[in-house]
Amino acid sequence: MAARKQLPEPPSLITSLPQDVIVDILARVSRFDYPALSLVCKHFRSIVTSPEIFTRRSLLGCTEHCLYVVLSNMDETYSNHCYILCQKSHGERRLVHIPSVPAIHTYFSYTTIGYVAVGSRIYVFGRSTTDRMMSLSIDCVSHTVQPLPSMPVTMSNTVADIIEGRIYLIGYHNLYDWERKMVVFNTETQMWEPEMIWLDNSGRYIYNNSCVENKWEMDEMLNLKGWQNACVVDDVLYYVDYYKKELRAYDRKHSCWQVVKGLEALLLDTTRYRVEVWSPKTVSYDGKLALFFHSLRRREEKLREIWCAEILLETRQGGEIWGKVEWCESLATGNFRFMKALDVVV
Amino acid sequence: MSKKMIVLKSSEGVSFVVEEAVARQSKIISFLVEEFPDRELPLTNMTSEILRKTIEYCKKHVVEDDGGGDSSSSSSGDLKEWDVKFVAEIDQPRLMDLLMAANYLDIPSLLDVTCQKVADTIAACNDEKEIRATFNIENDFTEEEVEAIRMENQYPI
Repeated sequence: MAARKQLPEPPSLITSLPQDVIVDILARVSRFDYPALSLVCKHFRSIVTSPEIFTRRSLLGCTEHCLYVVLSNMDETYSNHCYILCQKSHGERRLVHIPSVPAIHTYFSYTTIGYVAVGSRIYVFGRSTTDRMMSLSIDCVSHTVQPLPSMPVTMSNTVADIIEGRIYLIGYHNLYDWERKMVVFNTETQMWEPEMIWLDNSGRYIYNNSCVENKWEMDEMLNLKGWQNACVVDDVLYYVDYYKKELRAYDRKHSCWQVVKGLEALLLDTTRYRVEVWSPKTVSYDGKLALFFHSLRRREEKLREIWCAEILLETRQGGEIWGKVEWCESLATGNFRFMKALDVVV
Repeated sequence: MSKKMIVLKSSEGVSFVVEEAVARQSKIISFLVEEFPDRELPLTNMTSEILRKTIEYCKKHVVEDDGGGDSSSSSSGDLKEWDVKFVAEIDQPRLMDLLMAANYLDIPSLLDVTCQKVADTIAACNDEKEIRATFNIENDFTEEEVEAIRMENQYPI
């Protein structure tokens, strides 16, 4: 038996393991290490490029939260491009363009397209320059695009979000009036729901799932602030007040606003470049808050840096919320505008 | 009441006397004990060293049924900590042997911790070269193939 151990160069044990066990091991490694794994040997490459490994990641509970970012190219056409934030365990972070997801051209630089992340999928709804309504979903495992049933109405400047499996899509009736309407896409049936809801322009609504009728109601306390680019983390809504340089939080349960503490230095930085008024945008990310902001590097060359800060939120005794900056880095430089960030689970 | 003991024999012919409840964490042993009660169980593809390690793990993880309901010998937090130390102390070749033993004997929790340790070792490597060196994997790509994959990898999948 001792002879077995004395072999000079034993063949790799890892590649001779049963396929099932190798998949089990590689499924536990971060997705961002898969490019390196694909270069190790043909066997590893075949595993990390197969859909099977992503099924295993879900089964094992080894899925990861990935930030996807939509940037609009300001050069010629206003086209939205999809990027993924690559985070190596060794610290390097950068935005990598995903070429297989087609660019979406819009009328104006500020025209919004509705993007919603649901698990490993991104849903996209909006009006492109071809004047056609677009509805598609991006599979973030394979980075392929699938068409969805056509939208039942035309609307522009769409915004979208999801509640209990239903995507609520709000947009202007047309480009030149300010009437808004809302349609609903059911992600379970992958169908549009028949009714369309007209909204008045008086304010912002809150969804109440505890009563059957009048599901949408006004929350006066919530509307006390002119919040925008907000996100919800653990049932608390957050947005950045650009002028006061504050991250504000609204707790629905107690109907009260407060200022998140501990972020004074960061927020001074994010709003330092006053050459363009561009409020930092928030996104809920794996129980944390990611804050995206621009800094205009050289105005004449129209070069913007896209920055991101990841903030850990902590509610202390007495309900005070404190933020701690985990990291803050410049992720990309170019002539583009940040449109949307999405928390995708893969 | 005395506990029922069984005998496991390693590839070197060394016998290990183990409480049945400890050994039964292996689904294979559990099956063999039912089929061949009162027999020594030969594990011809496991060295004494690896078998000893496996038994050490099973002893720590045994859930004792002493009539008063199930009670683990340790709390789950302590167990996790113990597991981390247990695999941290094992070198690379022995870890692979232990992983194979867990797979062969069908001990899901041991397979889980050993797979995780291997995954962590891979994650700690800086590049593909370090992964190959750590696990002694042969590079079966041609230079052209490597270049092609690198081009593809500039973009995610």
